[in-house]
Amino acid sequence: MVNPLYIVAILLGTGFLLPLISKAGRRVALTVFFMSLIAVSAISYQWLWSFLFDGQAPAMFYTAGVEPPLSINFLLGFKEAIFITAVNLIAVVGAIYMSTQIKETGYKAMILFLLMVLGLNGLILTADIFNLFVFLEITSIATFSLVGMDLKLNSLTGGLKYMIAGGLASVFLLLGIIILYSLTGTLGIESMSQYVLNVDNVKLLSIGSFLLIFSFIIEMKQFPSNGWAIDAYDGVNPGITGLASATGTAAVFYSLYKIMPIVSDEILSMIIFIGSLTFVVSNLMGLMQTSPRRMLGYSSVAQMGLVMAAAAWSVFSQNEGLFFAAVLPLLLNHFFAKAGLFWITGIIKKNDYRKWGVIRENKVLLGIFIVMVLALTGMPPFPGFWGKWNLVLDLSANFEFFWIFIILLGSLFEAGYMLKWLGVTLKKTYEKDIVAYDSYKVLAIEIVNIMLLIVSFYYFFRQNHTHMGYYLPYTAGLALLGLRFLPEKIKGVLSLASIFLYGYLFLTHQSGFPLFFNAMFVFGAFVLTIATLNRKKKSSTFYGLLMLMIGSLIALVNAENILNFFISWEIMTVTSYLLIHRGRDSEKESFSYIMFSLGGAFLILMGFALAYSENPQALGYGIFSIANENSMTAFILISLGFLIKTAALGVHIWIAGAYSKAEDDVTPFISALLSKAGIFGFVMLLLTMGIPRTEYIDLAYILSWIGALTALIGTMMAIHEENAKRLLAYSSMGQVGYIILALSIMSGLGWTAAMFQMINHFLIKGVLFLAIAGVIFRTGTADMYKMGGLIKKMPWSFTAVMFGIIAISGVPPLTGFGAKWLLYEALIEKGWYLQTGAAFFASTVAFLYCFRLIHAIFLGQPKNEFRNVKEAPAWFIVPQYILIMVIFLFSVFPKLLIEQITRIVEPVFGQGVTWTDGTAYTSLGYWNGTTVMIIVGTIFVVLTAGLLIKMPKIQKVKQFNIVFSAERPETPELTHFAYEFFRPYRRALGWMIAPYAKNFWAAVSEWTYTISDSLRKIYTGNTQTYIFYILMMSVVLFYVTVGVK
Amino acid sequence: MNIIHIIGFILMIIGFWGLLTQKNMIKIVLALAIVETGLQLVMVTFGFIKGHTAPILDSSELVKGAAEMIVDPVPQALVLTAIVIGVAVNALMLTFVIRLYQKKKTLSITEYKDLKW
Repeated sequence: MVNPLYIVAILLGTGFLLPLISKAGRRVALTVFFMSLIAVSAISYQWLWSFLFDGQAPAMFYTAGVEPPLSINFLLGFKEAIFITAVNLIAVVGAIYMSTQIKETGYKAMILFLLMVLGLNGLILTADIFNLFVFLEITSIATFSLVGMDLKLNSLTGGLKYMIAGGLASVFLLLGIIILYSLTGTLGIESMSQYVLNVDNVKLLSIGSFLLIFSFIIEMKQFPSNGWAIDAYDGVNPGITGLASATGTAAVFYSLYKIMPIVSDEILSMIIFIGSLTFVVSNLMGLMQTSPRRMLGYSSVAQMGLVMAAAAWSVFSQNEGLFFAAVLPLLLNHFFAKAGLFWITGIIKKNDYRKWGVIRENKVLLGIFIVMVLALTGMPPFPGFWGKWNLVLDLSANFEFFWIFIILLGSLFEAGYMLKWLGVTLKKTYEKDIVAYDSYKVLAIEIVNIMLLIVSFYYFFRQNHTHMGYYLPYTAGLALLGLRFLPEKIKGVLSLASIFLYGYLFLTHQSGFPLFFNAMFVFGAFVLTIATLNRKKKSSTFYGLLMLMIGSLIALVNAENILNFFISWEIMTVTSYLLIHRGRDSEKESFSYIMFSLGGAFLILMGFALAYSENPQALGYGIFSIANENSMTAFILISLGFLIKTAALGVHIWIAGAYSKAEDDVTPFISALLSKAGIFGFVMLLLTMGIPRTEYIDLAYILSWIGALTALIGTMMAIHEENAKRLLAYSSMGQVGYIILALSIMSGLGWTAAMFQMINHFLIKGVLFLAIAGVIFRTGTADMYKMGGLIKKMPWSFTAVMFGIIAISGVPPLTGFGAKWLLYEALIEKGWYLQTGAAFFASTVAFLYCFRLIHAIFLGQPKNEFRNVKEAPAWFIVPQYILIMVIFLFSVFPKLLIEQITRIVEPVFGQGVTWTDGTAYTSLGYWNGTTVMIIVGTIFVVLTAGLLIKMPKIQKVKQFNIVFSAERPETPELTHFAYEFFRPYRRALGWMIAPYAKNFWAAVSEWTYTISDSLRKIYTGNTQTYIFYILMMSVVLFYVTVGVK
Repeated sequence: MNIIHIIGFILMIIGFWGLLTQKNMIKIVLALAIVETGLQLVMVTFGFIKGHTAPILDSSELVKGAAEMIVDPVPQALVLTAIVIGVAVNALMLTFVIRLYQKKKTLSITEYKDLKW
């Protein structure tokens, strides 16, 4: 093993020799410079390797053959090895990134760079508290001298602010060090943590440790004493910012972590408090930022708060394992992603995130950008996800629910601005601009990206609680992302083949509800994917994302524990967001979708944590069956999460926008399949947990009303829509409301109704959204009043829509009737008459919007501009008719479906429906699908025949033009009979659909932004304000932790 | 608590006052230097033991009973290091101030707040 003192020797030696070497030419100097950095990296890597694989024990190194405190001594253990490896790696990569600059500036920059690396290594390795100070100052001086070489005003201002704050921090640090030394007589960190236990003067001891920790709180840039840091992140050269935000904070953090054992529990609690506060507040302030660098600055500060709080918590709860499980992944996530993103800002150089579209010209950089933003928002499989997951579970096992809430809230804010940035970057049109893609810079960023992925996969495998088969459903999506250069048609066929394969792989092994849901997902995905084959435009990622989303649905069903469930849920959320985001003008709507979805996901996680707290160590669904005092809250939180996904009343405001702005062949997937993920969640929750109730609150009853009102209000909103896709979106909301209503009955018949309605809705929405997609493909508009008279041009689509609305409205003979019949029977059997009334009313109102689909689009006067439209392409028609055939099959022989449902529902609730031949009997009545079909068919034939006999001459109605007295009407849509067709109803019942929920959420978002905006004003940019905050914070925290008496 | 302690703390407070009230950046840097000077006084007195001599072992008498006769050398070593580092940091800060002055021709710190919020 190479003595780590050689790290110091190499860096210092090269530094001293560089002025001489540079005489031989810049190239030689640069080579020596890089070689010394690589040598240092090699030393640290060698240590890491032997810790990982050779069982190396931690080692202590002394200088000059003298014991401390007279000499510098290093402690090198596993953690130190990890940190120096990471830091030295980023140092090499950072040097590559800045190589052009360094070469221009000459050997001075190289010396400073080496000194900075020296300081960072020393900070991590040193085992005594005073050298902590020395190395901190070496790092600062070297870094700021580097900053100062960039002679820009902002760079200098930022640097000066940073140095003044750093100077104050050192004052506190030195004062703390000397007090602790005078009490314990040692400077060694390890011996000090022993000696502090015997100190008599407790008061002075707490003052000393407070001062020591406070200086690190400043160095870690905690709220509110961090304005200078954010200004510096904003102003300083991004090459150095990236380095400092990654390596500098990592090294400072690790030194703080080292001294944590010295300080008392009160001070550790203070660190946890300050860190969490910083995490939430900084992310909140980040929401108002428009400059990407400043955004990253706020995010950096917030992340360091979280990491610091988590580390203090691991020391406080004496849980060493948590350091590796949560603290390290959180830190490394920040480390690589932040360095990479800051460096990207050094290439794109746009000070406004709305102008970042230009990055789309460089696909490599764009891909890295997406990966890093997703990593920062804590998505699986990136390390940040594992860190947060483990931290949340650990906090939950210790009943620290408030902190879980704080962490999740902060994460939501962070996701808010990061995804806004991502969303705008992926979509917004940008001014053409020449961006210099310096190949060294891109190379450096790529290396960091690869490191991030390696760490992600390390944690992925380390954490894996289940057999790898669970991740199988993602393979097709990932493969298609890799094969993105293939032609669209081939990728489509590959998708179809892999869905088929998934069906073969999974359906043959499953039973019960998982089989039922997966059968629906696999069949549905297969049929709906056919329509995507119509795509002409080349897209590199569409099929990859689509298959990832389908895979996540299957994986969700396959999941056997809360971890896998949550991973699938997150992947589903992200991929569906990216798919919806592809639609035209969809930024706002998809943003609202992802924010609601993430909020829902965090509620689910919070609920999981509550359920987990009573039974730590187990992640299986079994944790839900153990009743405890938190069950009720857990149930409420988890169901809220699922209700958001199903767009229940109150949290539905994202649905119309997301469904209508998604691409036309994507919407069927979201409505027909994705909304069922929430239903699946409910099914699993109710199966394991039941519906908890207390003496006063019956959650089942509340849930039933949520379902009924969602059905009613969703339908009411649908009838007033002019846009066909928005209409169907609200219709979806209403139809899924019935499913929730049926589930809440918790009886055999109720669940039979729920599953039947779910299949019914899946089939119908598949047909209707595909039919509308075909119409929009031909006409180019989704506004119904612009269409009309398309029946002759598009007879196949017309027929499909007609069958669809017959099925959806719940009249005989199609499946919708069966679904409604079962639902009403179940509700009456339960004795919930009012809900029955609401459901019945809603289902009647549904006729109104159904009628509009037929009337406004297909009947009436054809429009001039659509005189030449053709029938929708076969790619749309074929899947519609496959689904219609299934609808007919289940209508004539409902036994086929209901028997399958009974088989899975019966073990839980007993039989809801019994059969005699083809007739279904419930406790209240009976239904024979075949007979109903025959009767309706007969009536239809008799009436048609009668009409033909009575009026044998068919008279065709010719179109005539209406001329408005030679004037053009102001609002031409008013001349269409179908426009605002149900305006009278709005007058009568409009109060029901007044946008209460919309206004409420608008107010929430408005308030959040306002608070964010007023909070960030505390960072006035005036250095003296920052000094004031630091001093005030020291006084306040001193008072809180140490006290005056 | 002896008189030098108190002087040290007073110096530190004067320095803090200067940091908060002076607008001239050079004066702010000097205020920080005053804080550091006060701090160094405080530090060195922590190792001081009344009646003991300097930790320079130049007589056999001192070598034998060093522990009882000399003051603690470690704080003195620390102070020396802190002084050296302090000087370097202050010099660097002053170069920044000079550069800033060259850019905007003013030394008032309130003029340098383009980076904010």
